[in-house]
Amino acid sequence: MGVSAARAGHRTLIVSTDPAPSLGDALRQPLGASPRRVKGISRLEAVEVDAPAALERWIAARRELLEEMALRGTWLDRDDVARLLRLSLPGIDEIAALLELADFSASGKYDCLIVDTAPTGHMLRMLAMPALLGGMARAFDRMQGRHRILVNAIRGGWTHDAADVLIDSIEAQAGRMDAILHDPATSTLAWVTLAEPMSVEETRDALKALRDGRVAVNRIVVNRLTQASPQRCSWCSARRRVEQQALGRLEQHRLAGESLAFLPAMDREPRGLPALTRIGRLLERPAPAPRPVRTTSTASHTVARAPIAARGDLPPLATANTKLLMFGGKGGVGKTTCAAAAALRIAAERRRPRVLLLSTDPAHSLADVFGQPLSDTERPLKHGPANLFVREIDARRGFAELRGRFASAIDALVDRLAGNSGVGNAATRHDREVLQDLFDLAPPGVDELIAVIEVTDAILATGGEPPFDLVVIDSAPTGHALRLLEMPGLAHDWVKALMAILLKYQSIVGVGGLGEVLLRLSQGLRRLRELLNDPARTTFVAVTRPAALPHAETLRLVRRLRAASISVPAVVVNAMGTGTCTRCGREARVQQRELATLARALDSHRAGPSVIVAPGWMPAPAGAADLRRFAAQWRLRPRQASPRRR
Amino acid sequence: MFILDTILIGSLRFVFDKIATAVDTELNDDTHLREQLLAAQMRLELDEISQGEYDALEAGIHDRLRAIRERQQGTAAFPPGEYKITGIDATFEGDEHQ
Repeated sequence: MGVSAARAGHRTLIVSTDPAPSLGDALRQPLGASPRRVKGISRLEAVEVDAPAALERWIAARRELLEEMALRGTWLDRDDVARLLRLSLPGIDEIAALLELADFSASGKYDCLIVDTAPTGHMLRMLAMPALLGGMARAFDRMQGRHRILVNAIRGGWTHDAADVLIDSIEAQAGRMDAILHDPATSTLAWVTLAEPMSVEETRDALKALRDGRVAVNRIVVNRLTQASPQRCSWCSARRRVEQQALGRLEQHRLAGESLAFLPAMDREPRGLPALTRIGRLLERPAPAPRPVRTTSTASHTVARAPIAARGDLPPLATANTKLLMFGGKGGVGKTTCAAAAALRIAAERRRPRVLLLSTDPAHSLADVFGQPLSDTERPLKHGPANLFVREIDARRGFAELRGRFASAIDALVDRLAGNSGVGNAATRHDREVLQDLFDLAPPGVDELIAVIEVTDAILATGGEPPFDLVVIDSAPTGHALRLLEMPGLAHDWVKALMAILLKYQSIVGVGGLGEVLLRLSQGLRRLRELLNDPARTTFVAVTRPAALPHAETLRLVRRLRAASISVPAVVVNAMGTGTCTRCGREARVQQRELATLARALDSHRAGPSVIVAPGWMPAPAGAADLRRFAAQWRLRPRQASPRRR
Repeated sequence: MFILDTILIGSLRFVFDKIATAVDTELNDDTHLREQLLAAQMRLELDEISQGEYDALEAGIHDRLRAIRERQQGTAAFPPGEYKITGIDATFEGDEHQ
């Protein structure tokens, strides 16, 4: 779409807000945190937002005023405020992305912004960011309120100062962001999906959330549709059958104003300007809906042929000491299916008394994979092993409970402060409201973190038998899985800073209930960090597909995990295999080449991860029986004869 | 003079009341001891004190908590060296106070 807009004469900027971006891979050009011209085409620039750097720039430009407002509006001293402002903010990608978008939009340099967003769950969170920024402006305004009253009383009047100007500008920025997202005259959203059952269910949930959030969806793009083969091919027929059924479901979920567009599956993954130009042209012209597929096949599933010379048993994904086994990878590669299959396999081995399979992706898919409703409470699977339990985390519930405990503790703290200082009701009410406002500004992702702490406490019992022996986590796509791994450290820094400040004022207000809440949180975060940093107890399995963009993202993911000292015993290359027609033959060659390239890159690391190959299924395995059969078909790809070792 | 003496007496009485309250709290109220224990746990979590220092603090606090519990249950003998303020008598000399 960006290429098409530029060729049509519009000054266009393509922005990736995904914390694990692939935009540079798609354009075949390295990108950075500032817009760069795309080579080979005029009027087109591209950028991959660096969220931490963007937010740091925003804070740095306003640090002095933010400090001043905090000093005026709270009883913290300058050292306390400076300490807090030095800390990194967890979960800031969505806020930073919108701040950058607002700046690009306001710059006047571009006629058109095309945004490649993060995967579903976190893209939906981004839509709530204008409200969060508006909340910040209100919190600062309340902090400033006490100062205004004092100055008014002393000087007999108040004039807007620099802090008020900052508050107004933040509020204006929130308004601009809200306009960017919700004004159909200036912003529309194109939803990209696959004609597969799970993708369609995710689309259904997302469309509902977008409509509820007043975001206009003008187009649904169905990607990688299988074209009719001139030769008989059971794999192609199976794919087309599944896609037809999925398109039928999609038709039920979309509204009249949401047009459908179809893109065919291509022999090669479209990368670089010529391929992207072709995609842009296909999107511009209305494509006819795929013709219905006639079939006489009664097979419930078709499994692709994936000729892989297997050698030896699969490596254990979890050893006897493993407590946490995480699955992650690019969106749409089959993480959830692979995590579910692995959990079933491990539970069936009966070496673990109780295994919990857990989804932390805000766009949960476990219920779709198992074909049974799930909830935020662990429950056994229908037709599954008795020692396997499944749960879809409701991060908001856990955070609401924590918020409730904080609210009570803050009330008690403010009452003690009022009692000791003799201040009146208005001042007490002000302090209470400021503290509650600040707590309401907890950034996105903190709720996922609270949920993970709950879970890890389930496997790290401090006394008696732990409820679970192993937790298998189906995480969000790459960027946010990495954020979930780094967040405990950032959140821990904040909690420790708040504990230190509370202890500093202990003689005035005591530590009370707030101290208790902070202490429990700190202990939970410390246990979680120790667990994550122990390669004997935590392992991460990356899931990918045999294609260039997932391959590139997988290598970056493995590098980041190893840098964080997290053990990566294996990479699962999912959806391997093709049919027997000529087109499938071309696809098979591409798959083999991508698999070999990925394996070579992984082998070059000392003690690099094993490569496990999982075959493609049409439709994807669903339910315990299918997933068991699927897991039994995984094969270990032999390493190269003489790998280079670093 | 009467006013000044009244203010002085009031101030002294305020101070003595505070002392009485503080001592009574120290001997009979376990809330502040639990606060001290919580604060010690927080300091340990922040590495401001060592595990050994925490263990010593914790032991001392538990001893005092035990003593309060025993006094409340009436099972403790009054330990030597400790005292309890039951009231304050003060005599003031001067014509105004006769």
